[in-house]
Order: sequence, then C-alpha cells, then structure tokens
Amino acid sequence: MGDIFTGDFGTAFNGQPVTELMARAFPVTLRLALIAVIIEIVIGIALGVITGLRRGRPVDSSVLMLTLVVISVPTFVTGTLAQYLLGVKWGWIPPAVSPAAPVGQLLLPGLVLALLSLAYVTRLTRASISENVRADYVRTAVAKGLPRARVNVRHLLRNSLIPVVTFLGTDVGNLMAGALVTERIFNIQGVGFQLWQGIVRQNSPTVVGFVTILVIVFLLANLIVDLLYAVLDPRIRYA
Amino acid sequence: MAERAPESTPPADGPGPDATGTADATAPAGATGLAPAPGTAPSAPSPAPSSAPGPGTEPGTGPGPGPAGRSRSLWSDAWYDLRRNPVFIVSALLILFLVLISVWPGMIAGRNPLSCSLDKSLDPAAPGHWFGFDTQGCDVYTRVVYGARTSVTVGVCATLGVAAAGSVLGGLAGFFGGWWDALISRLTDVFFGIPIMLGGLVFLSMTGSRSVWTVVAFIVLLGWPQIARIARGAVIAAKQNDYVLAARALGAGNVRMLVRHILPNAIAPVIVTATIALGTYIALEATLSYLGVGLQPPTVSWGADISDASQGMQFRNAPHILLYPAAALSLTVLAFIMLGDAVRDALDPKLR
Repeated sequence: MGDIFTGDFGTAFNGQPVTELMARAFPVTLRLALIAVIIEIVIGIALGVITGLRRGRPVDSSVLMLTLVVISVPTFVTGTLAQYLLGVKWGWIPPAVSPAAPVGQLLLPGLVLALLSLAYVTRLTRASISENVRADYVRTAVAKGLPRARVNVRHLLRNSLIPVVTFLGTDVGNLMAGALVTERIFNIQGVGFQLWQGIVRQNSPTVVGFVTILVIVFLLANLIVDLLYAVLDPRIRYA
Repeated sequence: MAERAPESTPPADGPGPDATGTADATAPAGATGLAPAPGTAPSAPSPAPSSAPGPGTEPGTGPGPGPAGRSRSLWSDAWYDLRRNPVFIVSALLILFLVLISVWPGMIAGRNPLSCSLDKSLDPAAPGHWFGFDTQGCDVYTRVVYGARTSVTVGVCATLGVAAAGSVLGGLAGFFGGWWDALISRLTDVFFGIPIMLGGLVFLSMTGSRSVWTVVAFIVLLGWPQIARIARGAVIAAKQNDYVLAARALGAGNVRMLVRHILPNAIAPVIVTATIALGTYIALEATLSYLGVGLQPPTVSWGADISDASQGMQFRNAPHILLYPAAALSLTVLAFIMLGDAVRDALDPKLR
C-alpha cells in the first residue's frame, strides 16, 4: 500500500505493471474527455445564450424541454441507442472504436459523453443570462450606445459565465462516470474501460491504482475551481 | 472557505452549482424568499405546511385553493400553479400509473417474469407477447412491467432516506450552529469528494450479494450531503426571520421553534431537490446495474436487462430486447424529473 506514494502501483493479473496500463489508457480517455468538453462548451453556451435572451419564447421552451429529456435519458441508454441506430442499423460509423482510438472515431462517443453536461451547461447559461440581462450594467452599456452584439458578448456573457465555468470544473466527476459507461459501450480502451474490467474481474491492483488517480484528479479539479472562482469574481475573497 | 464581500448579494450561498445537483443553480436559493410576509408571520403560517408533505407528494392539499380565496400561503399558491401546469399533469399521471403497476404488476402483466423457456430465445413479438422474448427466452413485456417495481422502490426509498437523513442532519446543523455545524459541514465536504459512480463501483463490487436495499443504502450514504447542504442553508435563512426571534422572545423551546416556525419555511427547497433527485436515483440504479455492480439476476431491473441486451451486441438481431426496457427507463426518469421541475417552478417565488 505504501508503495503507491512512490509511484509503484503493482502489477495487474496479466503481469503488466499497472502504470503501463495507465500510460496507455489515460491518453485515450483524455482525448475523449477533451472532445466532450469542447462540445459542451461550444454547443451548450451557444444554446444557453440563445434561450436566455429569448426567455419565454418558443425557442426557449422547446430547448428547455429538450434539455429535460436529455437529462432524463441515462448515458448508457443514449450510448447504446446511438450505437444501435448509427452503427448497426444505418451503418454510418463503425459500432466499436479500434484500440488506437483516433479522434475521428471518438466523435460520437464524445458527443454521447457530453450530452448530459451539455444540457446542464445550457440550463445554467440560460438561467444566468436571463438573470443578468436585466442588470444595471447591461442597461448602461446599451444606453451609452454600444452595439447589441458587443453588449451581449463583452458585458453580458462575460459576467454570466462564472457559474458555468465552475460547473465545468465540478463536471469532471460526471465525465468520469460517463466515461465508465461510454467506454464500455463503444469498447474504447481508456481509463473507464480498464477500471470496469478490473472491477468485474476482481483485479484489485488495477482498481486501486486507477481509483487513486481518478480521485486525485477529481479533488484537484475541485480545488482549481474554488481558486478560479475568486479570479473570475473579484467580489469573492479568500481570507 | 470562500467568503463574500459585503456588497455582493448573489443568490446562492454555497459555491455555485454542485456536480450532482439540480439543473438550475437557483433552486437552493429560493429559501430566502419563501418566508411569508413579515406582517402575516406570527399568526402561525397556515395549516398546510405543518402537515409537512413528503417529497414526491403534491404539497398543500389542505387549504382550499382558488384565486380569490382566503390568504394564500406558498403551498396553496404552488398547488394552484401546479394544477394548471400541463407538464405537472402529464408527469403526475405517468407516475400514478407507474406506482400502480409497481404495487400490482399483475394488473397488466399476468405472467411470471422469471419463468422463461430457452427455445424462445430472442424470438420477435408474438400474440400475447407484444414485446418479444429476450436472450433467456423470458417475456420482455412482463419483465418491463416488473422492472417498474424495482425502479420505483429504489427511487422512492432512496429519496425518503436521503431526505430524512439530510434534512435532519443539515437542519440541526443550521439551527444549532457551533461545533455540530462545523462537524456536519466538514463531513458533507468529505462526502462530496467522492465521485458517486466511482464510489458505487468500488463499494458495491465489494458487497457479495446485492438486493434492492443494498443499493438504497448506498445511495443514501452518498446522497445525504446534497440535501444536508440545502437544508442547512434554508434553516439558516429561516432562522434569521423576525418571527423566529419573536417566538423565542415569547418563550418557545427549541422543538417548538423548529417544528412550528422553521420547518414550514425551510422545507420547500428540500422537497424540490428531493423530487428531482428521485429521478436521478432511478437512473443511477439503472446505470449501476448496467455496469454489473447494481442489482443481481433474481431482481428484475431495466438496467440489468439493457446490459444483457448489449452483451456482445445481441440487439443487432433483436432490437426489441434493447428498445423496450430503454424506453421504459427513460420515460420513468423523465416523469420524475419533469415533476420535480414543475414543483420547483411552483415553489420558487423568484421565477414568478
């Protein structure tokens, strides 16, 4: 056990050192997570801004309803359905990802992984935009004659993104849970896949090693978010 | 700890959204606005709240609602809103149906979900077997119906447990403050440090045989801090009202203050969070079962059935074994989350 602190995670049951397993698994999952985060940020914030500025209109309520549906359907259901429809029935993509896991093949799994958080990002952005749109500084900016687009991007969006950024940090936990499922569905040999295999086969050195690293990543992400919070919002100070 | 400078008055008192939490960061913040107007305060806040509606049930069936009736409490207001919300009606009907078939599954499915014949493995739909047969030759329709019982049981029991444990611990922490508060707050911090899915994989894979109650116990163990934080915030907000001070000046004891004055004014955010959490707990159980660390075979679980269906991609030739349980699970979770959303809209005065 004490060896963990010196970087020795022992060997898995097939004789491979756990660190070697990690060296192969982490880059794959990192790629998958990056794709997911990019999708979340781009689509989520765009949808959130559109709906937040049009609160109560048809666009708003339909996107809101859509996010509810997305939140309700568990990741493993979306993943399996996407795999069945796109991979098996229509044959648009290969249903499983090859061990090398190139970026092109990871796009669909990345989208599946992103969907849940995408819905949350949309709702958060919408809530915070529609709250801030009535703020005094927005009225001032409009009153002094700035173009609407500039007000929205430089004044409104910037102030509304604080909760979203912090959400993205705490979202690391969600991504981990999603990766466990997504990697199992699409046979991606990343961290979640290895961890799941380790647990199903009672391969304890693998499990202990991966869980240790993942928990550290999770805690670090939360710490960074807490610190980032103060950077983004000068009203918050750490005594 | 983050400290806010005095000039800032943003709504949420916790550090923004939590990873496992509700969709809108505004939910917990509703607490501050929920107290009745100070003028009406000392005259005991209407009969409805003291009957303390549990999560999941519609709040405030007590006082006659109606737009021009007597003084309208938060609850009669909320009930008035809810009855006119189509989302609420649809989800409530769906949930009523789910509860009915989970209490009496025999009502619409006459067969035994565990009696299967292998010679019918993966057969498509046949008369009397509308959803076809799964790998083991079991009737998919019967299993889908019986799966509702598992999901509803896990969801309701886990939510009740989480709400009870969380609101008692968090509420008392908020009310008494001091070292008890510090202890509970640090404890919630520790539990928030455990990613729920990782925790589930590790804890549940260590237990030998898992029943519904093992899964419920696990969800309660990792779920209570969410409610505890919200309950603590709500109680602290309610405690600062003048009528609580008045009650104390009149000589009310701790128990009376908690039950008569603080509870009715702090319970709304807890109910909202718990209702939404119910749906996510059902999804969580299904996901755990899907990963093979949730419920085990004699128990019929949609998650486990979907896992079986995707084993070696058997749904390639028999999509019905995947589609029906998946649809049932998604609809169930959707119904509970829609209900929670409607209740939140009704109970959060900030959105009015």
